[in-house]
Amino acid sequence: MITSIARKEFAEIVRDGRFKWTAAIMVLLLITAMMTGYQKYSASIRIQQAAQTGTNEQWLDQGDKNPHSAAHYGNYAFKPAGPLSYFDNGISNYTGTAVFMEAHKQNFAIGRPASDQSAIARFGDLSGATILQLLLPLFIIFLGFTAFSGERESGTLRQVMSMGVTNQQLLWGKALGIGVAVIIVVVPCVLIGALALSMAESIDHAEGVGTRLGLLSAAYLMYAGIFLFLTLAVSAWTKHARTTLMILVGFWAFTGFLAPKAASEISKFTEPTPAFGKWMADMRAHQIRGFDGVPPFVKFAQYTKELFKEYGVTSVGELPMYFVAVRLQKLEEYDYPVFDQHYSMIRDSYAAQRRVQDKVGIAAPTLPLRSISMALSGTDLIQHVKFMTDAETYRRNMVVKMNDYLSKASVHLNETYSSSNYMRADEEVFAIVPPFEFEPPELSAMIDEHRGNFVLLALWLAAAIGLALFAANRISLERS
Amino acid sequence: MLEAIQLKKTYGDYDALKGLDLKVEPGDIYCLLGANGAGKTTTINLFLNFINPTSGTAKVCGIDVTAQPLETKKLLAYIPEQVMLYGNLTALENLRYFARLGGHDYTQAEYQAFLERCGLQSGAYAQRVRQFSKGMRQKVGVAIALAKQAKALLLDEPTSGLDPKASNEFSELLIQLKGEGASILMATHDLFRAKQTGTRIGIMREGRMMQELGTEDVSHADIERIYLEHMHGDAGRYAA
Amino acid sequence: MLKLIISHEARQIARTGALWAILALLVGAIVFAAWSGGRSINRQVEGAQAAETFEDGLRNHMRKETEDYEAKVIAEGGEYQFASVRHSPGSGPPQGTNAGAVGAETSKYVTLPPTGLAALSVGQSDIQLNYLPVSMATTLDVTKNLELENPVNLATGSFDIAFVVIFLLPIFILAMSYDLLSSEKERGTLAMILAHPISIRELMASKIISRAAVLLTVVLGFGIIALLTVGTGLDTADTWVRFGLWMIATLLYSMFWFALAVLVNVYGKNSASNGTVLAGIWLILVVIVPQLVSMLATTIYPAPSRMELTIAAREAQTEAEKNFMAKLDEYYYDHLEFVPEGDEKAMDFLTLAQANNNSIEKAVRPLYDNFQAQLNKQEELVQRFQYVSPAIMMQLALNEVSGTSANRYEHFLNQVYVFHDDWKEYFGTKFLQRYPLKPADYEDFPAFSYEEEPFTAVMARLMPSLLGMLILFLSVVLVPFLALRNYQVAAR
Repeated sequence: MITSIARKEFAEIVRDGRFKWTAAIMVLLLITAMMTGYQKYSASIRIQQAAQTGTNEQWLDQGDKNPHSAAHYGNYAFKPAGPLSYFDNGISNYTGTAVFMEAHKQNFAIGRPASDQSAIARFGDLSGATILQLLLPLFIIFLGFTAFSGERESGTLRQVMSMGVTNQQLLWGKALGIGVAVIIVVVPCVLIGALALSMAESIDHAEGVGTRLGLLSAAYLMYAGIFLFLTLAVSAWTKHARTTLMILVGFWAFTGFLAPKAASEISKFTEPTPAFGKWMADMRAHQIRGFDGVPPFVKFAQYTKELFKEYGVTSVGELPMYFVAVRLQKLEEYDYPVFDQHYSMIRDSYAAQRRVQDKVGIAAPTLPLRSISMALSGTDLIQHVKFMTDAETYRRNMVVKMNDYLSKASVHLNETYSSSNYMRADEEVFAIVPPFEFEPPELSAMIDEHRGNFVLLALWLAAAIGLALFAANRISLERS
Repeated sequence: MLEAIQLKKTYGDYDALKGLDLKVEPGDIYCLLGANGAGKTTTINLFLNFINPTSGTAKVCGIDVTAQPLETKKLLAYIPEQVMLYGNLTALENLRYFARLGGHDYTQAEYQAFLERCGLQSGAYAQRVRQFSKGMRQKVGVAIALAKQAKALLLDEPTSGLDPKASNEFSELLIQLKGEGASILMATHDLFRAKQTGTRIGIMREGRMMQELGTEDVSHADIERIYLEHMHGDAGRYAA
Repeated sequence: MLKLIISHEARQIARTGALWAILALLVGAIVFAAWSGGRSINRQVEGAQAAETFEDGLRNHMRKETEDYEAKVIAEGGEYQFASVRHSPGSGPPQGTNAGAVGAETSKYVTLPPTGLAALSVGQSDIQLNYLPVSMATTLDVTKNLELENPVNLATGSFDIAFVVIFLLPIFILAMSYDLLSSEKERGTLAMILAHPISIRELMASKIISRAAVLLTVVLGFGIIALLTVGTGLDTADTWVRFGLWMIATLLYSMFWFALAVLVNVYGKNSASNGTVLAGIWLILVVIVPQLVSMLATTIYPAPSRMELTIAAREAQTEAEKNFMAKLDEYYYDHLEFVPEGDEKAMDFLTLAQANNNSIEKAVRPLYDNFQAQLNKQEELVQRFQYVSPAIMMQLALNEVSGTSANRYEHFLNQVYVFHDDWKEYFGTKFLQRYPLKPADYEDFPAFSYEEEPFTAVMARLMPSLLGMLILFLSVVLVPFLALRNYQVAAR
């Protein structure tokens, strides 16, 4: 019974000229998006790898100089594109791609692609994810909104119900028929995308691409299911097809466009991020003042006394290490807690904002899906924060290694401290700093982080099915 | 006065109306009979200038409807099978809106008088018409025609689906209007009502006028017989 | 007659829940957008003030020291001397007497002031930093900072009034007029009306006017309220001229959507199918086409990779350093503060640092120019392709009107570059002359004041978008206008 309802529903949909048009547009856009996305992805991976290799060589090749000067010369960390960024570019346009790692300063990532794009880039990326998040629901609504209300208007619903079909059979049959019509349009495109990925080289850093793809498919399937059953629920509930359409399109616009922006503004209000100027002024003042209120130079003077006492010496010249290097490293370290506090303040505000936005997902299923999709594609904030943390760890290690070397190798200069008297190190010394390598966050950590969003999606699906069943069961066949 | 002169309407290669000549004088109730698709509604639509004729002329009180559609519409009233009104406006509001569209305005009491004359129970005047029965809506339709002081009425199966009492009341109203000198053209399937109310009858088939009769000259049985003869093309089988 | 139908329509739609729901949503959205746009601009202004106060504080501290020093010199006699660069506290003349230290160690924050309407369209102002630290550092250092903002929020975009107008207003317009004619047809009232002496054009016109009047009154009214609450410079003519342009753009944009609804109603079938067609067109024009144009721009004229640029700039830097620093200790160039006291040679390092910066700038300039050229091509392409979507035209227009466009920012940057040169010139020269800065000299430091671009320049960029919308509206409205002449109410 259910299959024959599904077959009729499917035939009716597929014969409609509008189906052919919308399906053709969907397919065309999906394939265009996947292909250009893939092309951009492979180009960016190539450039990133070349750039990272290049900067590593520059580090070694910088010419003979004092090790601490080498730390000033520094190195760059270049962010690799997420493994599935060709499908969902996430926030990649709005995060920097390169971090300058130098002595004394913790830097933000620079080279944000959005800064190099025209204003209309703010309309968003045409990616596979955008299409599935925004177009797909509308496609489902178009295919399904007349399922009950249209039949009610044309009078065939009374006819069908007089044949001894139960309401639930009708619902499942229609869901199946529409579902198949959607699947025959979307699945081939997704397969093309997956095929492109399997041909891609240089995705060795992508842990568990298969698992990621599987989870992505599950999330998008749930999302499509939510809209399918909501469409059927509203269609069964309303008297006229045009009312069904109004309600569903309204909901679609709400969840796809209004809710994400509203959630973002609300989260900016409840969990504000300081403006750059304010934050920078605060941090620099904190540096000058000293983390615990003792200025670095005062602190270092105390440290010098302790050092002298420890080694039982009375002058710099007697110390068994190069005093200037000690001083450089100490001053560097005094800044660590200040940097940690101020940079983590930003990160914490972003994380808190995300939690607020996730909460809005209770009212708008696009939000949890979007978070999951970015996370699995490796283009979300967690990925970026991990990159920034890795870069900072690398920077501190780089500076320590250079200062340590200086401190050991220049002991003899303590006596004759002047500006024309210095040591030079060469490539061999610079090589004690290993090349930068980015370890993407583990997939399991990512899944843990987004467990709540998966639950939300599942709840939405359950609620949509529940609503559809409820609405189907109370279908009234009174003449309107 | 309503007048059709060699009126033709063609849709692609389908001829809906094949050169109709028709004249409805003041004081006439002219009943158009014919099967579905005979061209009755097309005729009415042409008089309303809802569609343009392929050739020929439709005139209302001597004015060509194609040339001066807005002028002729001032003289016309139209009552379709279902008088459709704005569901969330009251009967009075609907009446006032349409009357003013027709270029007339009256006092509240006068509007009420129109509704009263059409037999709408007074409790319904201020009700939203969403809940109105078909009979009630047809009465408002007639009230609109009255308020418009129409010289000619075009009625498209106005009584189909009405219960006999409502149908009877409707006919009474028509007869009153006829008495006031209106030209009334009514498409209908109701042979009995046509004989009862109408002054003349025209039988149409496939876009042609087959026969015109005066209701005075024939009996009910005659009308039914002639009608069926025309519908089947061969008088022989049903003539006996 | 028009008046009658308009008042009838007004009553008609006023009795449907949909109108009130739509108006409530619209008003809610405008209020929310004004609030969030206002907050966004305030945050920028506060950030600029905090940064400026901090850096001015550093300079004032130096000035205070020079004042004390001057008083001491006057009291005790002796020469007012120039200090060596040094960071740790010491005796002798204070750092404030050294133009190199003042010009390099403190920054002058220069600010792009928001226009009166900035809060209405955040535009690009959330990804550009509207206040930049000018010092003796390189141009790259001056412009490298970004406003702090959660990238997720940047990707999502602002909920500002421009969003309400570009995205939501069309939805509300279409929701109110998708069944303009089809609902009358479905109800059967269309035949009832047209049996009266009224033409269908009049009917359609009155229906549109009544709806447009309701919506636009709300938009205008709450737009003014929004401007009065979160706008700035309300006493200047500039703000109100901009607001007028804003309203013209909004009017043209709205009329396009109304015309589209009429067009679809004239050719469409039933309300439900009109609804699907209009929702589809909305998605295509407001979401898909802009994304496609953006994709086209970045595919045809891709910006050179920032990564490659970084590597190339670094190559240039290494070269420059090798040339200039070959014989000198670059170590002290990084750490002037550790130069032992009285080491005269160290003074040369600052001189060299300046020369070095300049040569790096010269070396990377062609790379940046290449970057800018590619971006300008992208921008040109977008300008040319804007006509394919009213949403693009509207976004460009609103960014221009609100002064949050990339163009105004570039205008600002060009002034910053000039000021940067002035700053370097002033302090660089004084430093090389070993001129001891006196407290009074602090009054003569180069000052920056942003000079707004001429209004004609704004208009020149704005006009194509406005005219484009006007032509689009006219061509869309012309079709139904002509078609309605032969409109046949009852088909076979």
